[in-house]
Amino acid sequence: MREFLNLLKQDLLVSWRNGFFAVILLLGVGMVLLVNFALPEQAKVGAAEYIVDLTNGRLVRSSLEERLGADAFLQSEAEAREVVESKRNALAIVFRGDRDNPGITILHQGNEPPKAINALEAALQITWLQVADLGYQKVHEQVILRPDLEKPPFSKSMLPLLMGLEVVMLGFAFISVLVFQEKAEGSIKAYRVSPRGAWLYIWSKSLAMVLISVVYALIITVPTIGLNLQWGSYLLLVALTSLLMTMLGLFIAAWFDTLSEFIFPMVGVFAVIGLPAISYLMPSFQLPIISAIPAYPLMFGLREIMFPTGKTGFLLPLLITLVLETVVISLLTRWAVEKRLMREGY
Amino acid sequence: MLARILSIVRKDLAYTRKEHILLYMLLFPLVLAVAMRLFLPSVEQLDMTFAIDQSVPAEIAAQLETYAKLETVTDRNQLEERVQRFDDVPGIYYENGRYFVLLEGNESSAIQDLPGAILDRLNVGEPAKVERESLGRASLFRQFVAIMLVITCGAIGGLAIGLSIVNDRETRTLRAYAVSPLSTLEYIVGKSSVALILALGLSLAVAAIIMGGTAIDYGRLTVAVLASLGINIAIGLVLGLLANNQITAIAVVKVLFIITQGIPVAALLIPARFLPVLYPFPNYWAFESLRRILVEPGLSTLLSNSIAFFSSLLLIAVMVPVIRRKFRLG
Repeated sequence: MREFLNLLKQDLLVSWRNGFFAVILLLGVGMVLLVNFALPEQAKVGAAEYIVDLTNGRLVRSSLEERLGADAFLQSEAEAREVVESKRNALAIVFRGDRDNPGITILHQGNEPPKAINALEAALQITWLQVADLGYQKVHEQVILRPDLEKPPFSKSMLPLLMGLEVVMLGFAFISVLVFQEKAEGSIKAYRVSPRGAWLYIWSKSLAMVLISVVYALIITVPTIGLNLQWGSYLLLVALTSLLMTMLGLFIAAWFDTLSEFIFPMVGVFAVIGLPAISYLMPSFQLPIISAIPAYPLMFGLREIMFPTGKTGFLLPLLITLVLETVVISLLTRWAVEKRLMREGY
Repeated sequence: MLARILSIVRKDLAYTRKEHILLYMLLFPLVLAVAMRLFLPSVEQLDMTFAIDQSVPAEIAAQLETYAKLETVTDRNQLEERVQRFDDVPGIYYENGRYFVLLEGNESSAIQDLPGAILDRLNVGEPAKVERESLGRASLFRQFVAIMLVITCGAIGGLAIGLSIVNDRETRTLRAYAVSPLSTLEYIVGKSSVALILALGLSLAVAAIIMGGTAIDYGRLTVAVLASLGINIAIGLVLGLLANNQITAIAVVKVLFIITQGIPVAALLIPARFLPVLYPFPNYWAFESLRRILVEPGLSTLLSNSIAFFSSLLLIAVMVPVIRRKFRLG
């Protein structure tokens, strides 16, 4: 144990000397400024919808203008065509005719999934019945499991995303630095002849990186969310995911000789790990391949911890999955470290 | 002068070959582009998902399938469990002649309203005649992936320049350059030329892979990438100035990548009225040029290209005396 603590202390010291703490302070302050001051409280991800009301009596505009805002309404069909033509995320809906002979035209880009346009068409039919006051038989009722839920502001809701893409990926990048530094300085050769073994090497470095990631998470979280948080669950989730990604970083770094070589695959891993951001920004769309990436449950799990909706029982399965993944990766990492770092010739 | 520049280029090529950097630099963006190309169709055609239980009549379920992907569960408990998962999937069940749309409460308003509107629509028929007019355009997601990959290619060029300068610092080659007639400008041109030519070639290649060969105006894209190459030189110079070894380089890379990748992402996310916050960053203008070429081809890129080009040139001009002083070059 004492040997492990000595190694951990040594790895933390090397991290300090390499400026890791300065980097997380700099990045952390940047993230806090971004969340607290740069990102808007409200933002819409998706298509911009415009409406043209050519109906007799302007039935649509008088009903919907207050809800949608005047900016959503265009004056003519020609203007709508121009907007859809020039704005690649725009679609326009033209209402025409009267109560007896209504018509709706959807002007769209063509890249929307057909089912989404079908759903839009259904919604427009019902909207027409409502705005024209034609009356219809509603066959459904909404049952909201947690009706008092408050949605967090857009800026704050980006925090779990930043944690998933930034904080837990820190160990992945930084552990490689320690490995390549020891290779370059030759201290790995001295380690090889010591009786400490691969596990101590892996765990001391990994734990050092987890500690740095946790400090990074705290630098970002406290000034943005405050102290009112389930800290135990939060830190456990950040620490475990960071451990997993750090071990993955060590596993990959072991196969490369220099940091210059490693940087390119590292950027590739970052790109893959970043894919769950799509699901996070558009939660109605789900793709099994994305939800299998560890950053996916982390982002949504952190969102639930930071902005609780009352979900129960999500944390334990999440932690069990992370522990199992970490066990598998740690075994692979030990194999890679034994094969590539603990033997002469590498 | 040309001989001195070529000598640096030759030395750099030898270094990048030895360290396999050239191989990774070429392979990484192309592999990423091919992988994204394979992945894109599944994202572009992502449908909403509704969960239904077995109480929903089969003919209604069949009709619902024309509006959303369906996940069928056996009973109400499973339906509640499904609705409460992390994603936004509303549930539908049928009881006593009515449909019930089960929601968690934190879904977007569109996701909350659509299932009910669809169920009502199935009941009322078609009160208004609806026509659809499509422009037949490719997905925007595809355009933005292409933009991000082109930007990444440029950043990789900058990274290669920076790592090469860091190598010169580590191997003390810079000390040898300091006592040679090599000027600062020759050093920068020598360090940048191969990386930038590769970045240009890779940018065009990844854009072609993502968008399909014929869907791009390659002339405009080439001009935009050329106009933004100064930004990548500046990235490389900042990396070379701040990092005196590979270890500090990775810390600097981490910060620089947030700027190079974060600003385009921010430009996508923040509302138009906040965009002026990004105007001081040259890479915002590079992003804007690419956005105009790939997303809104009708718009001119003259202003954005000019700002990207001249602002990055200014950035380099500010750094040249610092490099001259720090590396003691002529």
